[in-house]
Amino acid sequence: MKNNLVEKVSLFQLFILIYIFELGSAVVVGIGGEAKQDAWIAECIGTVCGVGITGFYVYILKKLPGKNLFEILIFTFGKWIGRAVIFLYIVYFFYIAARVLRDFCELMSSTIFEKTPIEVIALTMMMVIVYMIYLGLEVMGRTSEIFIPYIFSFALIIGLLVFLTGEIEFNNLLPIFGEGFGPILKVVFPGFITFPYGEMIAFTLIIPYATKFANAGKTSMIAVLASGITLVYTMILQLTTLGPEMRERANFPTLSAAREISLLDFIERVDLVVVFIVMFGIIVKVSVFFFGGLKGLEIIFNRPYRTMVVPMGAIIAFITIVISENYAEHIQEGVKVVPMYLHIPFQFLFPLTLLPFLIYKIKKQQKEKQQ
Amino acid sequence: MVTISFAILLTCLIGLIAIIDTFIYQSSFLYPLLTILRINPGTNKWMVYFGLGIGLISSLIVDYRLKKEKGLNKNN
Repeated sequence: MKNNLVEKVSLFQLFILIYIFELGSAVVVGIGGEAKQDAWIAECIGTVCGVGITGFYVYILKKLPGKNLFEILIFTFGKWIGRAVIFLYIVYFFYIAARVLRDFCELMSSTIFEKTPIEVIALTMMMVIVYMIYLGLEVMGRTSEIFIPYIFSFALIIGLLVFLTGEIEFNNLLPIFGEGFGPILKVVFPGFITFPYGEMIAFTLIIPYATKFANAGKTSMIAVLASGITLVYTMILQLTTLGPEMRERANFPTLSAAREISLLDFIERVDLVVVFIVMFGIIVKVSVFFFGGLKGLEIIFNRPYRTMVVPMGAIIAFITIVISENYAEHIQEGVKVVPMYLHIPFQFLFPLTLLPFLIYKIKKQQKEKQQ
Repeated sequence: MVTISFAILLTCLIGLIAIIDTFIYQSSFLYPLLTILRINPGTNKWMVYFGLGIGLISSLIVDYRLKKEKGLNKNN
């Protein structure tokens, strides 16, 4: 294979990438609306599950250190079956990348670029992502390192400003467990475990490239926990500011919450800060899925992934637009079809099927070596 | 090879979207497929088709360069 470049990300970069990836579109779209005022409890449970899911993915990767999920698939199932499964994963990764980009395009075209065609936003964003991925994983890590202080401080400042504006009403969180535990469980399974935590499957193609692979598992799990805490924080912010009903109706609840900020007749239109946070989150998220798909193509076609960055980027930009006619359809697909028929098979069924075969294959290999 | 992968992936992704639309709207497979590909007057869908064209051209160029490189390596 013509792939002489060995790319590495430091543990800190990995932490940041996972943190931003998990926030990505989960901050934009209102998730867990069915749980109403208990959505933050559902998010807490989802975070615990998310840490477990990440632990499971790392466990698979640690069986064959230094190899990514696709290489493990080839090792376990052989060249042909392995490549077929990899191809399915490529389609899945590119499809999800397009969905995530569409989330962002909808946000942009309905908030700050109202007169700009959504196609222009999709193409422009994809150009940035293509450039970043072409330069490699290390560049993606370094870019995230530069932006993380802004993301973190802006997220905190928004909460503080909403609080100072006097829009926070803690009574909106009551009654706790008002409708019992049922709605919370409904939101967590399959909602939260597949989006955003199950999407960590894309990191099975990045974690093996961490400088200290032995500690990558712990780092990943801490990053998921940190992102979960941030999501709980934003969810409480949305609920206390908007209330459960308005939050459920809002297309972009965090943005609606930030719009409430009005201080000293001077600090206003802070929602643009949310757009900035979301923009970077989306760039990272799309890049990670895009990178995952490209890594798969690299293995299937035996060509360096950089040769395929531009054509595949064009496909994602195209799919972003044709994926749905409007935002309502996009969300309907995201709630009705994607979790059950795409997320669950690719995030859980395939890895769960892979694990026993992998353990068997490794044991068989060890026995052969001993003989 | 890059062009082939471009064509295969594009077909598979469009097929996947059409299947999902078929499932949601309970319609025939062909109807959502045509809706996806059709450029309605007044829309800006042509822009992403233009982007797709650039993608196709770049894949052809990459394939040509890889083939040329392979030929040079063989001669050496």
